[in-house]
Formats: sequence, C-alpha cells, structure tokens
Amino acid sequence: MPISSQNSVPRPDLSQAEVQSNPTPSSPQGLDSLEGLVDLLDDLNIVEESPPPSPPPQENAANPSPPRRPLPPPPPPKKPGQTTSSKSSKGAERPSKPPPPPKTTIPPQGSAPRSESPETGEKLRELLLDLLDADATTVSQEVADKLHHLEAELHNPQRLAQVLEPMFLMLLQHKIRQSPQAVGEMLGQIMDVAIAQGTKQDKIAMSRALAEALTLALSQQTGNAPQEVGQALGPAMGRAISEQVRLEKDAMVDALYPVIGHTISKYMGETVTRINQQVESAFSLQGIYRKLKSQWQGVSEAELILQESLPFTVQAVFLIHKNSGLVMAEVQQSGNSALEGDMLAGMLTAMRSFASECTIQPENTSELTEIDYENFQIVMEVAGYCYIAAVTQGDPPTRFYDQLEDTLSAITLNYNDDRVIQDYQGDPSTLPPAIEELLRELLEHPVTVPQKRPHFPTGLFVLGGVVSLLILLPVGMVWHRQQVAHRQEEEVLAALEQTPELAVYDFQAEVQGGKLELTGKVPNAQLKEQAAEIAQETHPTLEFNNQLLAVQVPPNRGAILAEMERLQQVFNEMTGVEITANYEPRENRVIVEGKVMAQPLARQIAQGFEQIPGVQSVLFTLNNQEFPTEARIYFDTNSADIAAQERENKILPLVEFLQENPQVGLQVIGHTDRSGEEEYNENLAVRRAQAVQRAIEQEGISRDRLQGEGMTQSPPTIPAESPFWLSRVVRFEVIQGTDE
Amino acid sequence: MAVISKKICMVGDFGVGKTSLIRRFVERQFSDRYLSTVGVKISRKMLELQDAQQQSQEMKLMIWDIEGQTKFKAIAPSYLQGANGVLVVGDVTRQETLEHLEEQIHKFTEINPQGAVAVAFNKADLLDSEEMAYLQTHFQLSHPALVGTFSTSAKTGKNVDPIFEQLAYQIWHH
Ligand SMILES: Nc1nc2c(ncn2[C@@H]2O[C@H](COP(=O)(O)OP(=O)(O)O)[C@@H](O)[C@H]2O)c(=O)[nH]1
Ligand SMILES: [Mg+2]
Repeated sequence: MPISSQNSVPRPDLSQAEVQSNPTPSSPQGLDSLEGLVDLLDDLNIVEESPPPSPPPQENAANPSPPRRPLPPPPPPKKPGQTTSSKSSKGAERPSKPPPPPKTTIPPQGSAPRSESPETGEKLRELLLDLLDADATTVSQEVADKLHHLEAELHNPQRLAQVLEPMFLMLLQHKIRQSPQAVGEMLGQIMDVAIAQGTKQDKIAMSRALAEALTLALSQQTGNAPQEVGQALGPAMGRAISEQVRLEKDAMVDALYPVIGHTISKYMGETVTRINQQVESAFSLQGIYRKLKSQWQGVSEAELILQESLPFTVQAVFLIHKNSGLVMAEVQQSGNSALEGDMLAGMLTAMRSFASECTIQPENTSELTEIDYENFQIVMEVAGYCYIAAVTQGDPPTRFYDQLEDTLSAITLNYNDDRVIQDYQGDPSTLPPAIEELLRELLEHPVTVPQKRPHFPTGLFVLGGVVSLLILLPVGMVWHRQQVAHRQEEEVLAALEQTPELAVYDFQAEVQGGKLELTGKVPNAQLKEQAAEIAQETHPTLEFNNQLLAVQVPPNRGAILAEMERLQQVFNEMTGVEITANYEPRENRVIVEGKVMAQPLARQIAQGFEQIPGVQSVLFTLNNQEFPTEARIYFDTNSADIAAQERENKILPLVEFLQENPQVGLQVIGHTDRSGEEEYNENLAVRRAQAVQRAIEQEGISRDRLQGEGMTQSPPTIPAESPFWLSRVVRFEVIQGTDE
Repeated sequence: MAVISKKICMVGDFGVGKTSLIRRFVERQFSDRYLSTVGVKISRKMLELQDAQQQSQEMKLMIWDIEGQTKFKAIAPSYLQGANGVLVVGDVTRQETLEHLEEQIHKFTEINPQGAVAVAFNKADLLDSEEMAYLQTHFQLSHPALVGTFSTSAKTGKNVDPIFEQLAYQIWHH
C-alpha cells in the first residue's frame, strides 16, 4: 500500500511532484558512459578482431567523424506515466504500442527515413558488386537469371527487396566463407547503424538477439580485462538502474517519494530543486551505484565516498517504538533547526510496515533499514519492540552500522526492565535516562573510520526485486576476481578474531597484488606483534605489511558485549553457575546477576569479566538462595531428627540437583549452637551431619560423593549474637569433582 | 508533567470524511475538494487535558489517517498496531458506510484490546435533525470500549473538537 505524508501543512499534489521530477538522466553519466559502452562493444568479440575501420570514402570534411562512432542518442526521456513497464498498473491508459513491423534484412523503402543512407547504401552497393565480381564464375545460372530479372524490377522497391533478400543472403554466406575478414570489416562499419535500426523496429527482438551474444562476449571479456568491463559498465549500469526504478515508479518509488522527499526536505531545509534531483536517483541510485562500483572496481567504498561526499556526521538519533511509531527518546545536534522527531518517527514507522508488506515472499522478513539520499540518510537498526533511526549526513561508514547495532542491543538488553520498552505508552519519563545518553554517544562520537568489509545495508534489498535482474550478471562476473582477495582478507580477520586477546579489536586486512596489509589499533606493542604473527601465518605466501598502531584505544562496545556474551555462555556451562551479565556503559561495569554455587567460582567469574578490555569493574548481585546446595537443614534443640518439611523442601531438591550434576560432591557439615557441653555438642554435630548424609543416600546418591563433618561453632556466616536456632543446622559445601 | 504521546487511528470507508475531520481538528479548515489519501498520513495535535480534580496533562496526539479500505483491500494490521484509540467514521448519507462501523470497531479492538473507540456519524450537516435521530437509533452500537457516538460535521465543525477530546480523555484516564 503506498504512503503519503502529511504534516500540518498542505502538501503539493502527488501529480505535481511527479511533474516536477524531471526524468532527464543525471549528467555525470551522460555521453561518457555510452561512449564507454561503445568502446566495450568494439572490444568484444562480436566483431572478429578487425583492424580499426578506415574512414569511409565519402567523408564529409566539415564533419570529421570521431575515432569511435557513438551509438545514436538514447530515446528521448519518457513523460511520467508513459511507461513501458509491463508491471505498471496504469497499463490500460498507455497508448498501445504499434505491432512490430515484419523483420526484413533490408527495410522497405519509405519506412524510417535514413539520414545515414547515402553512406550505408554506397557501402552495401560496393559489397554487392564486390560479391558479384569475386564470385562471377561460381554464381549459378539461377542467380544470373534473378539478377537479370532484378534489373527489370529495380524501379519497384518492394519487389526489389523481395527478390534481393534470398540472393543477398546467399551471396553473403558465400563471401563470408571466402574472406570473413573483409565481411567483418564491412559489417563492423554498419553494425551500429544496423543495431540502432533494429532496435527502433523491434526493441524486444533485438534485445533478445543481442542478449545472448552479449552474455557470452561479456563473460569472455571479463576474463580478459575485468577492469575495463567494470569501468565501461559501471556508469551505464547506474543509468540503467535509474531508468528501471523510474519505470517502476508507479509501483513503489512514486508512492514513497512524496513521503520521504516531502518530510525530509522540510526537516532538512533542503531546497525543492534538490529533492527533485533526488527523485531521479530515487533511493539513492548514487548510493547503490557506488556500492556496485566499488564491488566491480575493487576500489574500497571508502575511497569512493571520500571522492564524492561530505564528512560523515550524525544529525539526530531517535529511538522509536515499533508498533505505535511514537518517539521514545531523541537527541539532536544543537544549532540544527530541530527535526520534528514525532512526525518523522510516524512516517518511518508507516513506511517500514509498507516496505515489509511489499516484500513478496512471506519468508523474506527483510526490514527497511536505510533510506538514502545523496547527502543524507536515515539509517535504521531494528530490534523486537523498538528501532533506532539515525539521520546522518555523508555516507555512513560500515562500522556505524555496527555501532548502531551495539547501542540498540545495549538498550534492549539493559533497559527493558518491566517491559518498559515493549509496553511503551507514550510517556518518555517511564524510560531510564541512560537510554538518551547512549543515543547521544551515537550523535557525538560516531565511528568515522570506514572498515573495508563488504557490507550491503539490508535496506537496499527492498529494491532487490527491481534491480536484481540488472545487476546479477555483472556482479557475478566481477565478483570472482575479487573473491580470492576477499577470502584471504576474511581468513586473516577470522584468525585474529579467534585469538581471545585480539578478538575485541578492529582490524582491517587488505590483500592486493600479492601483498597483505594489516591496519588497526591495539593497546600495546606486544599485541601488535602477536596480531602480525597470526596474520602472517594465515597466508605466509603474501608479502606482509604491518600497519598496526599500538596506542591506547577505547575498545568498542560491540566487542565488549560480544565477549561478555561469550564468557557468560562459557560460565553457564560450568556446574552451579546460572548467570546473566549486563554491561553498564556509563561506568564500564559488568553487572552479574543470577546464581553461583560456590565462592571460588564467583571469583573466577569476576576475573573473567574483568579481563575484558575496557571493563572497569564487575558487580555481583547474586541470588544464591535458590541453589539447593545453599539450603540449610534446621534442627530442634538436642535433636538430630530431620523434620518432614526440611526433607521435602530442602533434601529432595538437593538430591535432584546431585542427580543432575553427577560430578558434584558435597561436604555435609553439622553445627550446634553454643549452649551445652562441648563434647556433647561435638557428637550432636556429627550425628546431624550423618542423619542428613543418610537421608541423601536413601534417595539413591552414592556415599562416595558425601563427606560428613561436625562443628561445634556456628556456621561462618552466622554472627555470634544471632539467635541460637540459626546455628542448629546442617549446611553443605560443594566439592567440585571432575570439573577441576 | 511531561507531555505524553498517543497514537490514534482514523478508520472508515472511502470518502466518509476522515481526512476532513482531521483537517478541521488540526488545521481548522474544511474543503469541498476531495483529496484522496494514499496509504497513511500522519498529523499531530497538542491537547491540554484536565480532569475533575483539576489535574492537567499535556497530550500529543499522533493521528494516523488510513486510506479508505472498502475500495481495495483491508487495512494492514500494522497501521492499527500500537494505537491507543480509534475514531471510526461513517457517512450519514451513505447507509452502507454505517453498516460497516461495527466490523471496523471489531477489527481495531482485536488488535488493540485496551484501545478506546469513538464513532462519528459524519456529514451531519447534510441531514435534518429528525433524520439524524433516526439514524442514530437505527445504527445503535454498543461495545465495551466505546466512548461515545457523535454526530459530526467536518464542514460546520460540529462536535469535531468534542469527539477528539473525549477520545483523548478516555485514553488518558483509562
Ligand atoms: N457536507 C459535508 N461534506 C463532507 C464532510 N466531511 C467530508 N466531506 C466531503 O466528503 C468528501 C470526502 O471526504 P474525505 O475527508 O476526503 O474522506 P475520507 O476518504 O474519509 O478521508 C470530500 O469531498 C469532503 O469535502 C462533512 O462533514 N459535511
Ligand atoms: Mg482520506
């Protein structure tokens, strides 16, 4: 379902917006790109290795022909609404196309006027004469007869064509057998005209015919000179995509543009003209094109970005409730005319649902994650109940996406207590202020170092259906060349990531011309050395260039979170550990919640988290009461009898725990209060321990796993002045068996 | 106290006056020209609410206008999601639009069980009061979430502010 935007201000009509959108192709890829395509065509093997054609004899001196003939100019831009897209819903309104004229080798006279005909005609005549001359001896009687006949019928063009056609073909075949070189040379000169003419007559048939040849030729040429193919195709491809999207405008761009264009232009203070240019490259064809180009040409996207865009800045960041589209938190650059976050958020939310409704396959749950205008974008990172939308200027470096992801996961992991995020009711004061601070960090310290890893924002796939046909072929071709280098780079990075000490730092690896260059920052020289060694080991054959810097760097939050998660998983696999770790970015603190069965384990866990670079402290908020091993069995004065509820509530769960964790052994420690005789108490303490031991054994736990012990003091955690009953207990200590 | 934001939706057949009601409420304008709404359109209005205890609350209404749904297809649930209230609109000059009200209420409350519902019998200026009275009894609606049924006119402005304000008040004091 299409969407339009409405602020409290009347908006121009849709139709008006359409009229303003001047569909003239954007200039940067004008004639140049066509020339490139022509160059390419010439280089392709469609025309067999022919020497450069000599200038035609009847050259007009006042109008010297260029070394390469450009293709005829592209057909004039279509008016909006008039489209050749078969998907257009307005199909019925379009004037129906005239049926394609019958295909003939020689167009009947009086069809399209041919300004080029004097030259071409002359050529054809020469060829014909040449053919006749060369083959005079072998030409059959039949042909001779026909020629004779021909003379008589020369005045009747239609008849001429009819007669000439089969013979012409025959002669041509013959000639080709004899001297293909000459025919090639000859045809080469008129090929462009022929293609142009054919295209004019029946575009579809011509494309079909050419497509086959082109595909083959392209793949061959790609093997020979991939760079060239990339360069030639790049600009043309940009135009092609642009054209395609323009044709599909009815279906989607048209629907979305007024929303985006209107809303954004108002907010960003962009001029209307500027926005209209954007219609042309709807959804930032520039952006898509750049990404493709970088893939094709092996130039890092970053370089291209530097070439053509502003430094990257973040204008505003919003946290938006996914269902209602209400703004939960927002931060904006000061000095900016404030963006109306609430309207923007509403529109984005509506668009997001529009985009997801538009995805054809139901299993394709792609999200709209980026709306791209030449110089500003809205980058979105989506979680279950909310999403972040960042309005940025300049093309976002890849790592910014990671940063967004980290921020959002920090928010959803740490600040969704009591479901305040999913149940958001429009009152920002119900949310912890820390959220805003996290967003502010995105605004004030966005990562600006681009990372060289291919990364397609998923949002672009919204356009996937539209452009995929166009890009599949070239991307497939050039991809291969890049693949090897990419794979090597990935392997180096993977090796570094697998090294725990290094996993938290960002490295960039670049393989080019047999050289491996490693860049990035680590906190000390030792790590630098280590990283270099690992990188070198991965690909010993590559010449190694160590560009790592050893400096004190704040480790990135994503890495901290990732490492935290990893450790959490490791610890939770240990017996008697059930924890969740949360990161508190403001204090660089890890907060560990949950249950840890034994003190030494807790120490180990604390050390583990403390070792994450960037983590300053670890805070435990453990709730160990729930561990059956933490239970205490209480006794009456002078008694070693286990009360029924103690058995039920404490011993049975403990037995269950022991059954689940067969490697755990228990120290069973009996205590007495301070009253009474020491000797008697000693005995009582031991009896209590034994009673519990027996009770456990009766439930099927092996005696080997239990060690009894009696103590006449209170348990260590019970202060001397406590009530006596607290000391009449049996408690347990865990003996980690096979674990250690 | 902080401003709270709420999302409300307009629901109703094509041409019943949803867009016109919003324009009246937000921009204080009415136009005879029919501006078809494509997809969804969002408007904003600040309200200062006050209850019997003189407590006040500033509310920012984000009003989602949804394209008429009879013509092409059902409204996407995602547009209704997260809404705290809905204004279901019928056109008193077209009975069939009134017949759809019940189903439209149902659809909304299915997605937002906690949401508040107000019903507008719109274009009341086109009928005399007798006819209006007949319609309102004939199309009696009852639903637990229903705040009230109002005869409105985007043209004259009749009951436009009250219906939005009632809805907002209900959402606030829910
Ligand atoms: N007389 C009268 N006409 C109205 C009223 N409300 C809307 N209209 C007209 O009804 C037509 C449809 O209104 P619109 O708001 O676009 O309907 P929507 O499709 O529900 O958004 C327009 O021509 C309006 O001028 C009203 O209260 N009285
Ligand atoms: Mg409308």
